[in-house]
Amino acid sequence: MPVKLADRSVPFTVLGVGVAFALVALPAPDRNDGEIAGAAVLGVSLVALSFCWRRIPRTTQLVVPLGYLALAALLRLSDGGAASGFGGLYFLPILWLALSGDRRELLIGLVALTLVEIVPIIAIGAPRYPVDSWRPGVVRVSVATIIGFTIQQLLAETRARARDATRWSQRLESLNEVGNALATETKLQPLLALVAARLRELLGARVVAVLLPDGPHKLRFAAVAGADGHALVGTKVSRDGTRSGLALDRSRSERAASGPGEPPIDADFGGRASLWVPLVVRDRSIGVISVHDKVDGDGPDFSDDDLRLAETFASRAAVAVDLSERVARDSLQRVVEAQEIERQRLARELHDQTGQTLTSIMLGLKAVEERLPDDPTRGAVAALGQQVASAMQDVRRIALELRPKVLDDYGLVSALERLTRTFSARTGIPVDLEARLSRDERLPAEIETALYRIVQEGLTNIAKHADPTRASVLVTPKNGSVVLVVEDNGNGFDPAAAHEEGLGIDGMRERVALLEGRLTIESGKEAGTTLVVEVPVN
Amino acid sequence: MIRVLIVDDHAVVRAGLALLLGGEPDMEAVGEAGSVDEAIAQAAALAPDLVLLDLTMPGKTGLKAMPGLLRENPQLKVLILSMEDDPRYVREAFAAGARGYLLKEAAANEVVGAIREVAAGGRYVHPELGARLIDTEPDAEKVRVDPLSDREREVLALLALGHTNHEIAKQLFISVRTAEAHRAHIMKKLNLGTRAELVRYAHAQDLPGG
Repeated sequence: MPVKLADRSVPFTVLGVGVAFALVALPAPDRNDGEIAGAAVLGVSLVALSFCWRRIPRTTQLVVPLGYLALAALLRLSDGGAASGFGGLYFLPILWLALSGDRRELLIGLVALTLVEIVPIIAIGAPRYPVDSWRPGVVRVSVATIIGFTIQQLLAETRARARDATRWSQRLESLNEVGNALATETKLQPLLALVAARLRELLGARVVAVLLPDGPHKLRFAAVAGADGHALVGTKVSRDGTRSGLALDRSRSERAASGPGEPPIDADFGGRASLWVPLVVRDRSIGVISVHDKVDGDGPDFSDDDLRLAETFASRAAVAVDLSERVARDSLQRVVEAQEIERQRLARELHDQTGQTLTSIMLGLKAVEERLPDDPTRGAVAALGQQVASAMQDVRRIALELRPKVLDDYGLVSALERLTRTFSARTGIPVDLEARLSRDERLPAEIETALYRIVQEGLTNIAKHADPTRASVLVTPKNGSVVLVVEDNGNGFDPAAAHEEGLGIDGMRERVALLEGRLTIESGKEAGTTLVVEVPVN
Repeated sequence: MIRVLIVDDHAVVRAGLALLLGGEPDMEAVGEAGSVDEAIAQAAALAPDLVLLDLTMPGKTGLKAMPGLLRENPQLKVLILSMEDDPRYVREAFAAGARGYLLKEAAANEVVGAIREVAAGGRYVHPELGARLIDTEPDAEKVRVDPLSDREREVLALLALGHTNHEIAKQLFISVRTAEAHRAHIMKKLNLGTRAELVRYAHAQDLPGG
């Protein structure tokens, strides 16, 4: 790999120029004082130039050796073709160009040199100096070129090794850092940010992002390093039809090379060369790391090595995401359980305590009423009794909404029969319930509760938004799992649109995820809505 | 004179009922019990004609107590007085041997009449509950001649298993539109309106998944 004078190896370059200069210039016995002085001045000025070299544009840099060659040609023409002054040191610019590592520029130099040799001959005839004296010149040029190349190769190799060593130690350090963070950092966000930042450093990428699924059709930026990416954190992109989504769905890394034929990959990044690496835990993809644009490294594309490194980081990140999901799931589960217990307690309290108290008041009022003579007071007491009776109905309705006792006593099917009947009576929407479980078949309590709540929520949505002529609820067993379908023939909506959020679908999805089930929604404008939940029953 | 034993875990309710019954010339509250065990003991000691029984009580429920009560006192008539209005409880109560079912909110106006009816050997259900009971009786399966094509039967079987149109399309290697069309045809041919009806039909036809 070429090392350019323009990069960070200035001290090495200076050393190389000096050594080459000493080797080639010093042992020449036929050189006059003028030549040596000129060479010394040139050498010193070159070394001085090297220090500020990086700040000079490349085209300006070329002026130095080419200008020198032009000067040499002029000198030769002016003294009638004699190799005098520092015209004899024309090997120096060639050495310079050889060291620069750019073959094209070296070629330009050699052509220029040839012209410097040939133009004076054409202009003023054959040189007057002895025939064999051209040899030292050629030898000097050749030696200078060879030495220049050799030094440059040595420098390149040393630098490459140093870089490899640095890179490996950086990798180890970063992996170690990520490993430590995994053990100590409890929040997911900083951890993923660290993974993205370190991976970006190691790969020399412009931007690295960690994307996690958000619903079935979207991916959310959980962490972004580089390219002002932090502003993207929390925003969502489509999962369908993107390379990120593809890597996630296939649980396989994807790579795109740079090149003029490749369209920009991601509207957000405009990236060309890219990697997409899935976060895989227990054969399940739970996220994806996307890496875009190699800006610092050996070439414009990501190597196999880069891909492996990204995969190593992805496996670390996967562990973290999985852990945090499980923690979140546990706490959600506790919240859901606590909520159900509280609802159950309230429902019982209302039903048993408040209900009984109202019963006794009503009975008492009835007894009073019967002992009263037939006058307005008696009517008033009767009316009070009616009010108490209606209060009892309210209490029962509230208790039922909180948690129907029949769900605990007789299970899902009986509870759904009750729910759909009450719903139809209240909304006027006929609901056809079909349960392919037997009436007394009991499922695990948490599944019964979850499915009941989902039907409750689904029917509420139907009443609020769908405006259907009919709805149906189906519960059916299916190879080791239970399937629930809530369907209507109403308005429908676009499930991919953000509309979902108001429908409590996230809540349903979470409930289903707790049971390791899946929830599918199929809907379209004027096409009704089908909500399918499948939950494994162990 | 109808001799009534009142079983309810709430003393205020028992008192209210006793008061109400006390106003009637042809009935008498002979005893009260706050739990199932107490009720069994009282029934044995007092030999009442009728037990006014609450379903929901701490410990053993009224429902579970009934078979024991009736075994010991075969002549005893049980009238349930409960907050539960779910048909499921009504059905279970009658299955366990109750002769009547009364909602607490209707107790004030109906309890006296219900006691007379049941004591006379009749049955009593709160009118609204009776209607609901009939509603929830499972329909007799109507098996029809199957007018469906093989493809439609496949679609029907998948619908019955709870698959979405997309899934059906994928599984049968057809487009979503085609799957939707199949479904619409099936519904039209069978004159059915909902998935639940489709499932019921599939089941009656012994289709897989039905």
